[in-house]
Amino acid sequence: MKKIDVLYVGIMLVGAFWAFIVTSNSEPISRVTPCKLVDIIAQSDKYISTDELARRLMSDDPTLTLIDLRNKQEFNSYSLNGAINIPLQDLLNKQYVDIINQDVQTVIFYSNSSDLAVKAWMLTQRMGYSNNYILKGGLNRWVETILRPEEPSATATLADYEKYSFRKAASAYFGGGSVTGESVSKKPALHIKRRKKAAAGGGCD
Amino acid sequence: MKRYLIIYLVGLLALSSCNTKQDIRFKLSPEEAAQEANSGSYVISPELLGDIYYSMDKSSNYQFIDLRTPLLYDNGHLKGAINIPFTALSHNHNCETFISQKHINIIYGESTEQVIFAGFLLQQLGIQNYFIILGDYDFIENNIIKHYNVLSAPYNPEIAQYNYAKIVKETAGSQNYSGGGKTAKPTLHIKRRKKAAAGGGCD
Repeated sequence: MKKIDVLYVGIMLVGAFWAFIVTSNSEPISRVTPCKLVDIIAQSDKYISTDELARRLMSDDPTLTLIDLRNKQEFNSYSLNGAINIPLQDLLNKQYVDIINQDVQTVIFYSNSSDLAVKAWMLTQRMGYSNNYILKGGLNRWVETILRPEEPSATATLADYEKYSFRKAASAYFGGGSVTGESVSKKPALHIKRRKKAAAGGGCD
Repeated sequence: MKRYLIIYLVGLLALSSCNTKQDIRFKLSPEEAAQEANSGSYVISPELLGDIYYSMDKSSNYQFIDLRTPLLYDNGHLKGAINIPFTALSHNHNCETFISQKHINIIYGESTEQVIFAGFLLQQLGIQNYFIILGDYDFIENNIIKHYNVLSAPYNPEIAQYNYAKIVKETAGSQNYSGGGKTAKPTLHIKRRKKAAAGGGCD
């Protein structure tokens, strides 16, 4: 082998090493770049309203997975029906990957407002997961719209009244005190009238 | 051999130019970002915002960035703010201004959610000299800039504004859930009357 050939091979090896360093600094292919993430955020349908969630919960939608991102104490105090508690800082732990990386289930993140859910959603998009949504307004909005819906004004549209009507029904379902009169938790007493059985006659008087 | 070396070097140059185009990279991995997600240190307090806003002049190092649409921006914006619509954030020039560390950027937008998206993005990029203003433009304008009032001070949407468990307990619905799991349905006790002994026969 000529000296010049050895030099060429040396240059190639140095180049290969440099190329390895350059490419290893970039994001893994499976994860999105910052600019791509911005586009995803701007274009995605990422929110689910409290009304839509109430509707799906009331119809016992089996494809729904609710993730409560608050701490354990807050979760134990109150959570939505069927929710799983994954505090935000633990969201990307390996044990939860199968829950949040879903093709079939619709995963909905919520916290007291949208704050933690927005961050959780952003992290899942960065990981390339799909089917994740943010409960718009979180539990605070859940109370304002579902548990304690506000009656529309006299000039409100029919659609507003229909929405209010649905929310009142949802409030009764989930419990919120919007329904006046008798407490909704008490089921009406079941009155079963039984016909008096006639005494069996017969025998000798 | 010389010819192969030239081809090889051209290939390497092409590879390096592809990579230098993507010079905006995440500094934090998703796992690290999750760990730091609860930090709200980059949220500006209403007091500081008021101080900065009213003492701002040409020499100050602060720059307001309005993330709303150009139409909303034209209808009204904070004094001295520049408009970088969130939907156009990834455009090259916008992106550079947005992550620029020349000024301390103070970012506001259409909603708290939009601003949190922007702020969390900057946090993951490792940018440090920025603030975000929570609340939409109207809230900022009415409760901080024009009238600093009691609503301005404690503003943090992530705080529970209600005692959820208490609200549900007051008038429990059939599907409420509070801590200890679903309440068991009361057992239905149906008292049945004793059947009268069948009469008959001879006494």
